Amino acid sequence: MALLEVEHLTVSLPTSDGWVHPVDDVSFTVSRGEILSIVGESGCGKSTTALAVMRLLAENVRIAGQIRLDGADLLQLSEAEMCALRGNRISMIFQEPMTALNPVKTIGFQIMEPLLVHTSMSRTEAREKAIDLLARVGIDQPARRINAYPHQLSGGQRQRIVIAMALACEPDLIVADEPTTALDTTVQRQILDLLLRLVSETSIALMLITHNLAVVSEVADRVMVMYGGRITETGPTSDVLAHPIHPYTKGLIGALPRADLPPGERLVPIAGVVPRLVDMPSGCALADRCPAVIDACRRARPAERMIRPAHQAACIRA
Amino acid sequence: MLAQFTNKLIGFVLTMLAAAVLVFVVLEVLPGDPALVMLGPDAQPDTLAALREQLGLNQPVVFRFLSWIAGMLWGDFGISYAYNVPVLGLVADRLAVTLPLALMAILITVVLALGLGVFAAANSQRLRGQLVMAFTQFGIAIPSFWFGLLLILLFAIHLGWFPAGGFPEWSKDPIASLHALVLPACALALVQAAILTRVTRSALLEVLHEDFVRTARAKGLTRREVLWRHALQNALVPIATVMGLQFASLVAGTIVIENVFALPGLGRLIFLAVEQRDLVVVRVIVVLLVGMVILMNYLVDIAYLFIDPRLRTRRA
Repeated sequence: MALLEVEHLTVSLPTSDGWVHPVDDVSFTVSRGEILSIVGESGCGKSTTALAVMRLLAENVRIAGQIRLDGADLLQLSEAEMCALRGNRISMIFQEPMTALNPVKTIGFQIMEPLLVHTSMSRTEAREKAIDLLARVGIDQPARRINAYPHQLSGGQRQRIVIAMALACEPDLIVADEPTTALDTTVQRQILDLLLRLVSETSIALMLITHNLAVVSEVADRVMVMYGGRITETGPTSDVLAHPIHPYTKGLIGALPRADLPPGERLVPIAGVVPRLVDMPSGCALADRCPAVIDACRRARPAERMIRPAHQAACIRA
Repeated sequence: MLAQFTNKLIGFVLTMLAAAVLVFVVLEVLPGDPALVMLGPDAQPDTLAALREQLGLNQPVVFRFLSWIAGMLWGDFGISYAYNVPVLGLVADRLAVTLPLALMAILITVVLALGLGVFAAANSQRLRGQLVMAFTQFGIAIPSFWFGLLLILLFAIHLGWFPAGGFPEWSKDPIASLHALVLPACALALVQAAILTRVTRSALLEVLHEDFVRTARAKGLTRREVLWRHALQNALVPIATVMGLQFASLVAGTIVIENVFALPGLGRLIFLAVEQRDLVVVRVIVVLLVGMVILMNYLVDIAYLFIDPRLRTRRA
């Protein structure tokens, strides 16, 4: 059994034009020690899926379906039970290390906090553990740095702090929402290496959300491509990137700058923009932007089909 | 941080000095002859001359100013014209009423405003949060002297829990003195608490949209824990700023409230001193009130450094 099993997850949001579905009937699993990457353009439902798993969406949002952690449905838990789980068995890493930390509290306080909330550790023990964690995520002079405030650290260092916080209670699952997007390329590399090392050292399951296919190709075991709140393609990373099935995945890969591109050759962007949630087409969400579109695409929503072993796509033309 | 303390202290002293100059100029130089102001238009010329001599008005302005300042630094605040006693003792007695009154009012304001503000922010989408906001509208709209009268009517006359006015000396019965300050402090605190509640609420609501609040929730903190442990300290800078500003209107409010509750405080003294044209007393009290307000804002400046580490000097 996979650690995290998400089935028919639908997130509905009330708007003045009626209910919209930023996440629409999404199912996937993540196993222990596995890195699942969720990719797609902005507004395709990646972050909403992450926040739904954490159950940190706004109160007026409706979540349907099942999100099972070790078989227990998170959507059935009370808020208090969910609080006991967050930061303990599931934790999260955020996109903006510059704003994800409380500016008026020391980093020591912030790393110790989950330990003090979820374990019976004393302050002294939690402090020791926090120093260990700082060392583990590659912060120099951890015993001194523990008293620093976030503004005294660089962006990369802050992201390491956020990761240390997420690791504190040795969670089963880490949800990382664009953890490297706000960082310099060299620092991105370091943070990715750190995440890879942590996953291989422990048996953490990592749900890595990114719009960066280069990141996906380097770290993910499996990749799940989302568009318009739906899954368009899922499969092993190497297979999906080498032999993409869905026109959207092909488009994403075609738009990627590559070193081996012949001089003068242009990148192929995906035409058009992501449709607004209220204007989502009733058939295939990509219909208006797809180069291979046929009439049948607009009629019914394509189901996910197994095209190759472990490689699924939701396209009737595949 | 020590350098910042010193800098702010220098700022405090300079502001005090500027305030003293302003008070001196307004009261002594601009409108002509202070002796005439004090005695009124029907004064006899020889009385006038005697007073001018007593006040030192025949000396050059700069000399008068400097000797006034020097006198205050040495503890000589002059002699009250109306009471014919040293101003220092007169003011010190009154300060023993007004200062505790103001401090009590601030305490009530802060406790009420933080409690209600956090509650209103936590329940901003619910009816009970809206009710708190409606209540603060009342608080802002009700004049403090009228609210004072209502308090007297209810708690002093009907229920008899508190005295309706007057003030037993501290040395005789400190508990009774404190007791006598409760109603006037409440009357003073109402408006301030209402304003500060709204400031607290909106400052908190702004902070609650910040990313680190979501981080704290992702760690497993409950909404309430996030509010008190993470959001409040971040919201304190605007709250402290408004508190500092409010202190001035609170001090001004004591003038009215001390009259409503017949408290022998500074506010009542300045009221009488103005009526009796006792300029020596007026200028000392004005400088003192200005000093209290500036001191309060100095303390707020210092408080910023404790609230927000980013405002402390960075070590290279």
